[in-house]
Amino acid sequence: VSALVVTGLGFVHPYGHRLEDLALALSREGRSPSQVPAASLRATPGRARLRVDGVGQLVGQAVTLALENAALLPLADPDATALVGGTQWGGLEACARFHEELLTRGPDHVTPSVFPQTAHNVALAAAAIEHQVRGPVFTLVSGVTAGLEALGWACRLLAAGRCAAVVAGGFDRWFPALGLALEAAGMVGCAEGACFFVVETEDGARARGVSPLARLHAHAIASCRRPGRGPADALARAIGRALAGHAPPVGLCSGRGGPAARDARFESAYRSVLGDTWPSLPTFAPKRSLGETFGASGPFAVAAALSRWGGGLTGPVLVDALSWGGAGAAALLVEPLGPLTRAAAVSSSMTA
Amino acid sequence: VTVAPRAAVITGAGIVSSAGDGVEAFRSAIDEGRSGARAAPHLDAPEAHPRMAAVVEDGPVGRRRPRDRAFAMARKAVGEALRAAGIDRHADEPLTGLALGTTLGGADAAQSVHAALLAGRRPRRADLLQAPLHALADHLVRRFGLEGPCVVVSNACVSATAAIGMALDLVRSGETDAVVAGGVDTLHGFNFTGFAALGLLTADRCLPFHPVGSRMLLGEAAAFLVVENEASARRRGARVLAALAGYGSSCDAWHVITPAPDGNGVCRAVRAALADAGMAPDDVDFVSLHGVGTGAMDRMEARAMTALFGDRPRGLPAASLRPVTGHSLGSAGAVDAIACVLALSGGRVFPTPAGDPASILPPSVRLERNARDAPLRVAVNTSSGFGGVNAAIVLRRWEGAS
Repeated sequence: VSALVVTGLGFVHPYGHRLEDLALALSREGRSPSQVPAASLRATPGRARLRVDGVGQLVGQAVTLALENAALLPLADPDATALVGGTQWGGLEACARFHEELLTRGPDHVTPSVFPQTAHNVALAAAAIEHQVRGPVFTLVSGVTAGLEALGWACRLLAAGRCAAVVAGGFDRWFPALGLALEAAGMVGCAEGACFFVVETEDGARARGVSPLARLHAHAIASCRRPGRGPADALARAIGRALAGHAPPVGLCSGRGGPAARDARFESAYRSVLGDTWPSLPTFAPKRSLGETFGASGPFAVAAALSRWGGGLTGPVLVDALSWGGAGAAALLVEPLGPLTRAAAVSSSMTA
Repeated sequence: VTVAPRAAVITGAGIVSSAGDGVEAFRSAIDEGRSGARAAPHLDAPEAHPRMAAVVEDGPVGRRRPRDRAFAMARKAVGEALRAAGIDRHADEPLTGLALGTTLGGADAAQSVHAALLAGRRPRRADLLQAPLHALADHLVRRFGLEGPCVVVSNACVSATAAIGMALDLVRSGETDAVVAGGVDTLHGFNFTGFAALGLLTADRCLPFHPVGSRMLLGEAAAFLVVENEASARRRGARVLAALAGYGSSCDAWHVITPAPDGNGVCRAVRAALADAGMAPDDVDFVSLHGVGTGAMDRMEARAMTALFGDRPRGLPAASLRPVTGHSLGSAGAVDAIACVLALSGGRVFPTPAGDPASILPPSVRLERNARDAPLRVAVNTSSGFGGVNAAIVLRRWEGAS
């Protein structure tokens, strides 16, 4: 299999959906707004037909932007196109609504059409229907690491010859009931968003006449079998596996940006894999600007790396993620191939 | 990127289901076609709806169990699978990961969070941390000391089959030696009411592919297989139960709930799995069908079988376990996969109780009504679910090193 490259990027975040929105957001530090403005989430006719809820609209918008950015629409080979998404909360908004109906009105008075929306894979399925993606379509629910894992699975699917192109990324929806619950648990600064990439082989991209935005060198996941130092060890193993056999990273786009105790796990992992000199690496923690977007946070970190370092750093950048439960860790080695200035990341349907 | 092909084998299995607690009890239940369906008065359901489901009795999940039944059932099934494979807890070798498929995860915790919010109370932090689906995987990883890759997939009723397919890719790519792969889902008022409200549940029996139609019998189960690199299994001297030869998946891209009527999605998933295994439809000796008993799903699957096996001169043995185990949602694919492993290793076809000889399946695909001995070499297991997702695995009788 030839090298794997990123040829499209699409995202929706409370700060916006254009490259300049991302660049501006990354230049700020402080609490991000939590919700994408309703005006940015207007439903297309296709989506209205699918009757998707909020999380489905986020995913649909970001997937459409990524496919447009990669010049893949309409799909030339739907059977050979895959869609992989990662999320922490998935269809929780519909679950909350269905639970509310069940608990307050009783089983005789629930709304049947809400129930299918509670399935965590339905948001991705709706996007698959909208664009006729007919290859492998699946939803990872590993939490904060899920979006980065989705990019890893894109690489595995391509390497195994299971498809020719993959739309991969992550998403999560913020809604008031979830926000209250998260704040009660001390998780502040949460935001919603969806961020997807198109990944394909370099040969395939070249054959289509598309310039890659980045090259994906390696990916790895690991789990932690004990509490305490376990999460830091898991992250160190994931990073170590991703770096094995590759040039050392020239930059670090870190999943830090949460409570100090959690950030300490990242620093411990960096010390054990990269050595005591790791602070001299150009390092960036996009969560401090974009908020905790859970399943979308890993893909947003990749987008942030391309936005900040594309055309500036030459070589691979390490991107990582650690789940809130601390049992899962993911790492990705991505090399920006130039400035992230392609206007195609702005959909014509989104700029009015 | 380079991929070194590595053969994957099944070296362990574990199951907790309404039809049997443990692999041996399960083997006996499916051989006899003994249904786990029973009255389930504890499940919320619309007033007039019969509360009938293939539920797991409380006994098998043990006394010192975690608060959530899904956690307890998964823990028991994973423990059995690892023991059968001869893999010790917290062992450094073989490097073992987890691929978990589920639609609800620890639903008790999620329901507690929602109930607290509705009552204007702060949810308990423990509930909040257990509510995401990956909390179940976190629990299993720590409980069994699994240090390999961990993936959690929620792809409706295809979840466990997808998890097994992902385990295959992880083992083949050399990222890990072994993966405990499968799924768990339990029944709650939440999912029982949801399926009842959609009008999909049976009032008495589930009759897959019946000419006059039927409805679904919901069930619950935890089922896991140990998928291992053949070289690792050989090195350890592990007993191999079957080879996991191929995996394929597809999406109908048709409708969020209703399957594409032409069966093309299942057809593509099976063809992809067979191609992955280096096989053709003619190589298949047995098909374990999703067979949930709802008209739309059964008709779709029957059309797929016609497209795949319609030309076969002799009846291809096939079965659906849904009348026995019920439809256990995210774990159903792993329940069926274990049944296929038993069929291949024991040389015995399991039946579909009350399977009608005049089923809507093509004449070339025969729904078995009674268990019988058969020298099976290759079995295919199919799954389909909400979102129009489909997946299939190909299992091969173990005949020594490949």
